[in-house]
Formats: sequence, structure tokens, C-alpha cells
Amino acid sequence: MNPNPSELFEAFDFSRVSLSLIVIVISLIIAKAAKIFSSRMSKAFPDYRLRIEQSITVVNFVLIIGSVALAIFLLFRSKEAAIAIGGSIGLAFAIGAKDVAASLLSGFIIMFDRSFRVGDRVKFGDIYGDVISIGVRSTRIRTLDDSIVTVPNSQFMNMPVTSANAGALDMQVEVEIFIAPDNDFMLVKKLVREAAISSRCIYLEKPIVVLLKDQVAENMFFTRVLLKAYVLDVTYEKRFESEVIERLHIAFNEHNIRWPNQ
Amino acid sequence: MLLVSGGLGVYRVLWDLISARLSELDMTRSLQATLSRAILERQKPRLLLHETLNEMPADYRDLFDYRQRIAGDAYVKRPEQDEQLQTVYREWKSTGIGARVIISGDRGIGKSALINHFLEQVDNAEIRQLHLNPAMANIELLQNYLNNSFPLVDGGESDKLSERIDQLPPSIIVAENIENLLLRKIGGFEAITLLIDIILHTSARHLWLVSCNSYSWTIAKQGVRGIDCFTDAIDMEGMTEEEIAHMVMERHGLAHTHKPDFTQLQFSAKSKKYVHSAEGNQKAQQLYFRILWSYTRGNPRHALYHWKNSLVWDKDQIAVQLFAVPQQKILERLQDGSLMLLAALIEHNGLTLTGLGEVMNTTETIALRRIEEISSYSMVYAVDDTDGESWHVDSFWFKSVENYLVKRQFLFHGGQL
Repeated sequence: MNPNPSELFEAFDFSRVSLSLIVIVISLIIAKAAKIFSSRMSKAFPDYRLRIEQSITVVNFVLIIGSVALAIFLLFRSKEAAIAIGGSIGLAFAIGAKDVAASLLSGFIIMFDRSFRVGDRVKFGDIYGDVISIGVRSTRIRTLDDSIVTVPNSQFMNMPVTSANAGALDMQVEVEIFIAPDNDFMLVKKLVREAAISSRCIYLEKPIVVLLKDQVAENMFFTRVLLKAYVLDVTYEKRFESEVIERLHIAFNEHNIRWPNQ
Repeated sequence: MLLVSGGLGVYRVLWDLISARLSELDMTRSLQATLSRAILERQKPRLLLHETLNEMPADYRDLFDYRQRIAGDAYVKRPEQDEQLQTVYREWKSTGIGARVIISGDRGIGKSALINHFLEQVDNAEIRQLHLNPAMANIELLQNYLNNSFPLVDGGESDKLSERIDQLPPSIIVAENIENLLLRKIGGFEAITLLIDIILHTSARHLWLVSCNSYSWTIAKQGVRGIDCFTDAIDMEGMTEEEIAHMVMERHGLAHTHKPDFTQLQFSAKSKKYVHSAEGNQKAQQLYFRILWSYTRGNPRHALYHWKNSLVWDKDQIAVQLFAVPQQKILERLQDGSLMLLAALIEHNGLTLTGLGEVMNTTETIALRRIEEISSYSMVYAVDDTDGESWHVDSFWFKSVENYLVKRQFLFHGGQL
């Protein structure tokens, strides 16, 4: 049985197009207002910044998907027609634009599976940076050189994503220093620990660990000093590393701690 | 009818029970204080301290200085902490075995008042008090000071400081504000480590009382070897709303004959009759102290400061208005570097430019530039010390800055005792 195109058109009520548009515009305005509100709230309550941003992301996601579905539904004359034709259009869309459909579905999965969240510092392939938004189709990541990378959500289904802070503000940072193996290690450990505590970026409520390991590489015997500490916020990761190294270079020179090549 | 009235009766009883329980919660009180403050700020103009301070009698101002030691009813007792100290003292007296007590809490929370009150109560005990100032973060200056505080006695056998202290008759040795010995930089933990070593080696027969602010304690917990040596720990928390009200009103009673008038703190919608009644004044007084307690988080030093900030003097009459508080928006606009500098000033009870440069890992010029930025909002002031000009956070800003820095995690309360 071949459907008559005119009958297909009769299933739609085009007088409601303006109503559908109004629904979409209103939802976009609400989404924008929610974004501004969340930005203000994040400033007023900086300790809840990530939770606020994460909640607003979910709210906006649901709002946009819901309003688009409602706008389409309003165009149909009857519920039965909406289900039948909407289902057919959905199937055609999924086959014809399968990448977009996959990204939409992946967006849902990321949002509710919470493999990473807005504010997380993630490593995905060669990309390393902070998740600044999880959208309906794609996720935006700000890399450490301040570039914005847009990744289709479907990509996250095929490759592993490493999240360094998993939804928390603080994050563990490892700083490696290499020294000659005949130094005073008690002094080295004390200096490294003090360098970490001295940094204003450190999160003092979590442990600071200093580990030593002898290593051989390229015919050179040296000791690797590994500092494990937490920073207050993922954005301080590199600043902390740099500050610790800077302070340690001065302190090691003052205390005659030798480097591997000396 | 019976069913309806019975139902209403049950509802009424339940509501009274729930509201009574809710009003006991600190969170409910703080919420009420915040909302009331917001409404009052819209209705009444706020005053700044300098507008009213000149009219305040000097003796009144002095009595509300946090350094003023108060005896009698105006002293707010800390029964729990006082009992803890007394228990340690009694045990030390009866067994002769020494003890090490750490008292930790925010600046101005009442650590010194607790120690002084305790020392006034003990009799027949030798007391030695060490006055540790920020210059003693330098280990040599600390050693000199300790050598002078515990000189070699005639006939003494050892010139070693620990042994000299050990040979003294059993004493209560008080070391207040050990945060002054700490500088958050490489090598800045040596002075405090030295003191901790001395305490460890000399507490077999002596009772050591040590106080430290909670932020520095968190840092020391991570950086000072042996800091967990204390046998007893006293955590000082903020006063309750009732204690704050008692402290202020008792001091007021010592200095002034007229009771303060709180009626200006009523919401405008109240009837004229209610405004001038004793009940209205009482309610407004309660509301004022709730707001004061909530804002200062029960810190007596800040409560005394903001009380002075609230008074309007008209000869003998004193009217109480809502005290002005700084705007958080200004703090939100500051750069992270400036916020970190403010955190350093609070942790160290003030720092010189050189000290700031060292703990911030920056140059004095950059530290000065940051000071200039925050000085434009009068957040800091300078004091001429023996080692130069030291910078401190202004009292008006202190609580707001502290609260914001705790929220941003530039300050940590979390060092468990």
C-alpha cells in the first residue's frame, strides 16, 4: 500500500508552526538564563562551582531535547499520527544521519553514565584539557594551550577517556625530579615536602607523598623523586608543578643536592 | 466539627514541635539571619564605623577592645574546654607526669582568654609564659629568646637548652601563637620544629600549654615532624548566639547605664505600638544577635568589633543599627594572586613585604603591586614593626575575606587535632 503524499501532509497542522517556534525560542531563552544564573551562582559559591555547572548542563540538555520533541509533537494533528510518522522520520534520520544520531544517543549516555563531567580534566587520545560543556551533539574541551576542541559525543563510545578529578575540584598531581643517587635523601624528602606545602595551589586536606626510586637510563644511574599531592583546582595543575620545581631548584642549589649529570 | 477541630489540634501540636526543633538548628538560625539581614539592608541605611566611633566614649571603646581582659560575669566561660584543662592539670599535679596540650582555633576565638582564665585559677604552680612573635620564625632569634627565657642557673650542669628546661622544677609552660614561628616556605618550618623538639624532650615533668590558629595548624600537620606529639587537644569553636549576646550585653552593662535601643532593627511593616514596646525591643535585640552570631560565626573578637560598628550615639542614648559588611562581589573581582596574598596574611597574622615575597614565591615588587590592588578597597593596613612595615587584614574586612577564602579553599580549617 503506497501512502498518498497529500494524506501525509494532512497529518501536520502547519498553523501550529509558530507555536512550535515559540516553544523552542522560550526553551532557548530559559537555557541561556540558566547559564547566566549558574555563572553568577558559581562566583557567589565557588566551593559548589562544579556541582552548579554540572547540574545546569543536565538541565539544559533535558530542556533542549524536551522542547524540540514537544515542538515536533505540536505539529501533528493527532497522537497516533505523531507516533507513526515521528517514528518513521526518526528511523530515517537514524539511518540517513547515523553519526549525528549516534552523537545524540552518546550525549545521553555521557550525561547519565557520568564517565566524565563538566569541569573534569580529561585525557582523550591526544587531547588533554578541561571539559567546558557537554552538548546534545558534541563535547567541548579547553586544552592547556587555551584552544577549544569540539569532539562529537559518539567518539567517546569507542575510546577510553581518563578523568583526573572525576567531578571533584581537587586533583592529584605528580611531579618528578631526578637527582644523583648519592644525596642525603632525608633532606631531599624534607625539601620536596616543604616545597609542596609552600605552594598556595596545594590542597592541604589530602595527603602529600614523596617516593624515591633508583633508575638506570642511557647508561646513567639516578634517583627519581616522585611527589604526589593534590591541587585545589584542576586549573592549578601546571602552576603547581612549575612552582614546586622552581622552589626546589633554588633549595637544591642552596643545600648542595646534586643533579644526575654532576 | 469534632473531627475538624481535633485534626486542627493535632496539626497545631505537630507544627509547634517541628518549628521548635527547627529553630534550634544552627542552619535554620543562619538562614533566618541572612534573610533578615537582606530585608533590613533594603529598609535601613547602613553605617560605617568611622562615622560613629568618634562619638563613642573612650572608656566604652576600651572595654570593647578584644585585648581587654574581663573578669566576673562579663567573662564568657568555656565550661567544656575549661574542664578539659582542669582535668589535665589535676592529673599532672597528682601523678607528676608531664603533659602536652594543644589549643587550636580561629584567630580571636578565645584561646588566650581560655589560657589566662585557667592560669588565674591554678595556685601553687610555677608558670612560665613564652611570648612568641613573628620575628622568631628565624630559628636563631628563637634560640636566643629561649636561651634568655631559660637561663643557665647557678650550679646547673648543662648548657643544653632542653636539659636546662628539664632540670627546672615542674612548671606550666605556656607557648601561645606558635603560628608566629611558621613561614610557609622551604626552610620556614625549622623554628616551629625546634620548639616541638624542645616540648617533646622536656615534657616528662612539665605541663606544656601551646596554642595555634587553625589554619597554621593545618599547615603544620603536613610539614612539621613530631607535631602530633600532643597528649591532649582542645578545639576551640565559636560561641553560641546566647553566649555572644551575653558577652556584649554584660560588657555594655559595665560601661553604660542606659540599655541600648534595638527598635530601629524592626521591619518597617510592624505597627507603631509594637515598635515602642519592650517586647518589640526584646525581639529586635534577639534578631540583632542572631545576625551578629551568624555573620561572625560566634567569633567573640569579631562580634565585639561589629557591635561597636552598630552603635549610634546621641549623648546618653545608644541606638543599635545593622552593622555594615563588605561586599563579596569585590572579592570575586580580585585576581587569584591577590586572594592568595590575603590568605597568607591571615595564616601568618600579618607579614612584611619580604615575608610576603618569600611565602608567595614572588618578588617584593609584585607583592607590593598586589598590596596596592587590595589597599584600594582598604582591605589591608600596615603597622611599623621592628623588622619593618608589616601588613595585616583590616578588621572590617577580616570575616568576609576569611569566609570567602575558606570557600575558595585558599584557607583550610581541616587540620584535625
